[in-house]
Amino acid sequence: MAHLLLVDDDGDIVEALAELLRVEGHEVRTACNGEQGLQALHAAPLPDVVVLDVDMPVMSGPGMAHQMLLHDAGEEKIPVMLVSGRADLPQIAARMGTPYFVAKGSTFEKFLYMLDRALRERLAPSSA
Amino acid sequence: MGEQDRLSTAAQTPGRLAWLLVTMRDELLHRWTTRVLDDPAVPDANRLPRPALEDHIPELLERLLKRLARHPDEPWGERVGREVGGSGVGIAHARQRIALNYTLPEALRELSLFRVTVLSVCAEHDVTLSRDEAELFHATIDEMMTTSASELERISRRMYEQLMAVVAHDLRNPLNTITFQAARLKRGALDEPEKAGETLARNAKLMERLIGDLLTFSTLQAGHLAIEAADVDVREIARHTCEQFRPIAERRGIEVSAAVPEREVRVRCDRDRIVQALGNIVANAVKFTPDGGRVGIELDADGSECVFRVRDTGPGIPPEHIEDVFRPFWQAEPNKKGMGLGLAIARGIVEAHGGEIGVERAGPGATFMFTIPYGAVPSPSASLPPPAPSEHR
Repeated sequence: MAHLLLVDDDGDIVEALAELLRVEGHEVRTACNGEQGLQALHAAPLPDVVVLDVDMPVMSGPGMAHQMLLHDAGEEKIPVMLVSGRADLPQIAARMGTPYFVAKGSTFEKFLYMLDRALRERLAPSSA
Repeated sequence: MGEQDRLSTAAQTPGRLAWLLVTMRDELLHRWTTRVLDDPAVPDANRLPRPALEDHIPELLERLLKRLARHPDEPWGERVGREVGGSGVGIAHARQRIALNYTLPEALRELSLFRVTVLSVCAEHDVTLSRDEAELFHATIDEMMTTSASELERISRRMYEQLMAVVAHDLRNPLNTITFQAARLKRGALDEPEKAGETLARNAKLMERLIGDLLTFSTLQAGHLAIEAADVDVREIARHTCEQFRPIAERRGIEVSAAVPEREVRVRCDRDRIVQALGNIVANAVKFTPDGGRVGIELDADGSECVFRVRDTGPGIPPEHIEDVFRPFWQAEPNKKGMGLGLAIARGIVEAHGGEIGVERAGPGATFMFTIPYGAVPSPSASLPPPAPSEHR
């Protein structure tokens, strides 16, 4: 059971994914762009993983991740998982410094696999 | 190079070609533009004002002049090799022609006509080219043709790659929803089947529309858009579009309405294509209208042409971008999803009907409009406006 924050401007995706994750036993909060995502972050409790879309209005996924880094100062290093339909997703993830990403349109099983890896990093940070 | 410099360079150059290129410069340009404008193989030339048409041809003449100027004992091949930035003229010219929507055969034909023009002026003035002059002259023009061709090809490839990436990206979002709803069904995590069905249908329909737009874009790109004209009461198109977008708009509290005249509005047009064009404009309006706003479709049959208008309560378009909105891939907000093709496609379809499309009001609260002549005469090969400049990276 983990606390998750989902950030995506596509309402349909967020709704379906949130439901699926709740059935898996997770606590899920959602936001529809990077700015709202930052606000949701600061509402306790802190999530264990943030699942981020890349292209969003107002503030993008990378934009939000950057803000998280600035305010984090290395304290609460929350793993970020990128989800996007972009062909250059691997490069964006590499630039952001996160190994966790999955292409939109992949199966939910693949999503869970990647989420699981991110959660394990969160639970055992010393092994990172 | 100023006129005096050109004259003195030519005076010191062996042979008569250099002298002819300098003293007959204006005549050469005039003859060349006449040939190009008269040539049926270069239809796009007739759209251009004279300076745009001439573009880098004067620079080509300068290059020829510089190459011809040499010491008697220096083979021209070596001098060409010493030239710095040799292909600059070809690339700049190619980009200008691409931005003006030229095809490759047209661009090459123009350069070929330039060759013919110079040779015929030489013949008229009894100027026979030496072997060196002939080699140098032809090689320089061939070089420009090759450079233009390579550049056009490179940009085409880039456009194709970008299109594929954009398509994949935009189709993946609705696909994602469909995949996850399927997962929910599998896990029995679905308590409102009707709502799930509605979501699935909506996203599948979105994918269908995107694929349709992609195919239309591809057809327009190839200049093959065929219009199947029939007599249509276009009021039905306005109403249908309104109904089509109402569910999507309602989810964000946006009111969509359609205002049509009481009597019939019969127009000779391709109903499905006009639906596509109007749909793309309305989709754009809904996308950029904040929650709780309004999008109004209006049909005006009072004038000499049938006019469709779409008014929204969004932020509008910056005046400097009014022409850009109809270009493929152009996006007002780079991070918003969408192929950036909808309005370009709408323009292609409207112009194929002999109509006009434009931004009647830039905003705040924009109004897009397009006209369709009542007895529309379809144009045989409608094509797209050139892509936005940031494309040429």
